[in-house]
Amino acid sequence: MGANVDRTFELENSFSRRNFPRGSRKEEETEDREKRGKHSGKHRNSPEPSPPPKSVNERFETCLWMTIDELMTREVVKIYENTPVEEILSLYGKYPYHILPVVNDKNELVGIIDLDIILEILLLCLVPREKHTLITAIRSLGETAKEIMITHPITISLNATLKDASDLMMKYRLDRICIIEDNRLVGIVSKRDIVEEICRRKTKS
Amino acid sequence: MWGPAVVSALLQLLFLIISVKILGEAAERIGIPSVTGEILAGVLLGTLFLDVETDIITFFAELGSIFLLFTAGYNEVSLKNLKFESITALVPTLSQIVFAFIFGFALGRIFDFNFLESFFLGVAFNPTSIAVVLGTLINLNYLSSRPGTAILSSAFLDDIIALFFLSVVVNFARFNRIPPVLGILIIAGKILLFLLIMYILGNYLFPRLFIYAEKMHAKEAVFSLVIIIALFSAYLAELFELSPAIGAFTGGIVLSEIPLAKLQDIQSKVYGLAHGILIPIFFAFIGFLIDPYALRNAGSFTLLVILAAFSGKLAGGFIGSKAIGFDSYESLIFGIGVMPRAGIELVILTIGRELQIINQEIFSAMVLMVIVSIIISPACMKWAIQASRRRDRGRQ
Repeated sequence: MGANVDRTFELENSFSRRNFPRGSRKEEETEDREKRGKHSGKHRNSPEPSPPPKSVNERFETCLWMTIDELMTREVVKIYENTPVEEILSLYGKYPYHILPVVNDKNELVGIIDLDIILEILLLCLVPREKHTLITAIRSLGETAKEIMITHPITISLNATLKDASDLMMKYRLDRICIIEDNRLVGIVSKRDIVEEICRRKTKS
Repeated sequence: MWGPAVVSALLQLLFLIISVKILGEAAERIGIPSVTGEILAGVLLGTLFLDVETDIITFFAELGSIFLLFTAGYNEVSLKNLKFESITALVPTLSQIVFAFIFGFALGRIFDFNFLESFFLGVAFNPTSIAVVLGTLINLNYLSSRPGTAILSSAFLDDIIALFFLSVVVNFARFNRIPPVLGILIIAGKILLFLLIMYILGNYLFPRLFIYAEKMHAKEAVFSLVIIIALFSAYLAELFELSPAIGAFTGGIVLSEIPLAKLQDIQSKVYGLAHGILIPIFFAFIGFLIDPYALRNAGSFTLLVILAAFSGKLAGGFIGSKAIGFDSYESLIFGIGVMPRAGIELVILTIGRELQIINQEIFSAMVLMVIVSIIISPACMKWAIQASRRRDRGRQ
């Protein structure tokens, strides 16, 4: 019980401290990591969910200790860089994919294909004039995944925190982020995953 | 802060933005790219307002030209997506570049321009704007044909070569004559050094800066960083005595592969600032700078400029395509495809005018050439494609 109170006290403090502009963000991040280290250990040992929320603060704070690998989808549907475009289009026709990561034969992430690109390719004649650029034309003529993909996807590493992912999502309205380790694709985390997981944990506790 | 100059500038800016959008829209509805409407808006500004705050509007226009080239490198080109076509695809491209240059240079000599002016004319005859014919190619489903893909390959190369030679000309202008061989080597060295510095910055410094910017609390840090790098590249090029145009273009290319810089969100903000406000003001400013009296004085020169500019590209493209095996119609289509000029051409012309390499008459004539090329190229392309298809059907 004493341990619980201590933990709550620390959490409350860290929350109130966040309201003031901090001098060093690095301090904050190492604190996060330390706390996470303590608690993820706790999670693995005790399968029960955290005790029922005593205050509004606590209800939201449990989620701060989640790591990306708890939230992400590991079985990612991906395609290789020389997949022909017809195959990609049929994939989109059959399954409700949003983005398809493109990997090379070493399983390294080299690009992503998203719905916007596919829409532009399929409705090329309806593309608005502001999109009449060289890159749209090249994509429409592309024959493999490599030629139509976005070659600079946003990625985060496996040991990123939930805050890193949510920062990107909230600031830049990203819906999905690829997770890489040593340049290799290991998973995808989406806004929906995060929302579902937190809501689930809220209702459980 | 709100002195009389600023207040009247505010009104003129307001007028410009409104008229640019309205006239641009009118142009699009008729079926020609909005650039023509935007230039017309500038002409209107000149006629309706007696006392235009030129300094303030000039500065906006200069920012517009920087962003025109920056977005060309940042948004519209992807180096990694560019498939390397076979060497033979380069032949029509190179031939039309060479022919356009020769025609421009020759025209200058015919009118007794000095070497520098003729050289500049040759360079100014070079750029191509693919956006003008891209709509036609897409609508007629001709993009995947042999001439279509060849036009795409030349679009990028054309602009790079034109910008490269522009830097050379700009440096020649500072000497006010053609410098000796040593001078040329120094200029080449400067260009290479600039590109090397941009490459190093782009690969090592800028990605780190973006990671820091992403974590910053300050609002819109990443977007600001993109703008900072755009302006910085233009400034650095100016320090190296190259034109800011080539700096901004290089800056755009250097940023085009950094993930944080190319977030969809950030891209649309940059695009909005550039194409919504600054670039149209740049085009309007060009309209404002045209002097219709100068056009009349130039007389036959204007007509010859238009003819020479078109025939240079057409002939070069035609001959080059024939050389690698296109048939007559395909070669014609390629020639027409590389004829239109737009954004980058106008930037080059303003730089030439600013540095007083070309005078008001030549400037006005060349701008008219650009406008004419924008108006007639889509129609010519459509005619040529349909003729080619009729011929194919006739054969079958």
